Amino acid sequence: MWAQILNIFLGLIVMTLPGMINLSKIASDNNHIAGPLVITFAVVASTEIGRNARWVNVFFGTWLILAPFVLGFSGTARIADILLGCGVTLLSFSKGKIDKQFGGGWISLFQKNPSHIQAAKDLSKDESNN
Amino acid sequence: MKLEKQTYIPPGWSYNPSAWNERIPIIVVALVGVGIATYLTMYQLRIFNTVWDPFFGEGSRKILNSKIADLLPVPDALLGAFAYLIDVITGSVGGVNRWKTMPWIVILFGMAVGPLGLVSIMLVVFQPVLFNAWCTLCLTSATISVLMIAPAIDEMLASLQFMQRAKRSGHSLWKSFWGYRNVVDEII
Repeated sequence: MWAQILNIFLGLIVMTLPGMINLSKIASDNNHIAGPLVITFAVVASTEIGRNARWVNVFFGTWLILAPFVLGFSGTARIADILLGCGVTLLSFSKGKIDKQFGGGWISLFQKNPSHIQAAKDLSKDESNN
Repeated sequence: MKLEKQTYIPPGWSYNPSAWNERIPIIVVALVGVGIATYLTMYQLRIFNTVWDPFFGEGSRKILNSKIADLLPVPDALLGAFAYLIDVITGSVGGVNRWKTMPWIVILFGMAVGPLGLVSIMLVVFQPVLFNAWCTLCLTSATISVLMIAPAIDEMLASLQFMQRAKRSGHSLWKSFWGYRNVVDEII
């Protein structure tokens, strides 16, 4: 959870960077688009039910690292985006603690024998025993 | 076992996503969204001649009078207010076991919150890129939309899992979606 909250702050820095330092048009557009997206998925990933949304930020973090080379901008913007991208990517790999249970989560919808079906079977067994 | 039935915790879950303590915060936040979007609509309709913005001043005016804001016959904030209102309604309808008795409303709720969140992010992205401006209340509204996504979709997952169990037991997805009595009574 803390890793994802840190990512919200990193996303805020990405988004507000063009307002703090002078960036080229393409660099500031890139930051203005990537920042809100990182924040959004970090907010969703900070909850236990949405933790897997962090994988989307692995993608956006990697994009931030590559963007200076793909879009061709240099100087402070390049260094800042690479550093921020590394931070976002690394923090997105952190799963953190999951205390709640969700019947097997989203993946359960595609599983042959998901845990919520197991749990339902156990419940009906208990019921017929009583 | 008895306890679990009374609290309507879905099988394999540690809590009930349809409980009021899970839903009331979302409803309250959505109501704030209705308030903000209604206020911005009133400015766009010129019922108010100025718009409150403590941080970006001219920014709000620039954005609320932009081409995107006027793209539709009604102000874009009105659509936002309407969407938040749908969130409030679909969040309020049904009891604490609605994940199984009314999957249709739970899924409608999830759909209303999810896409609304995405539209909000798109508007945040458009603000600086297209108009080189920010708008405090628009950003607040976007934050609200994003905050609601995760708390709303857990209920949707519980409903989808219920429909999956119904389907595996030979019931029709259609009937479980609408919460037919015989499906609700038979499937845990």
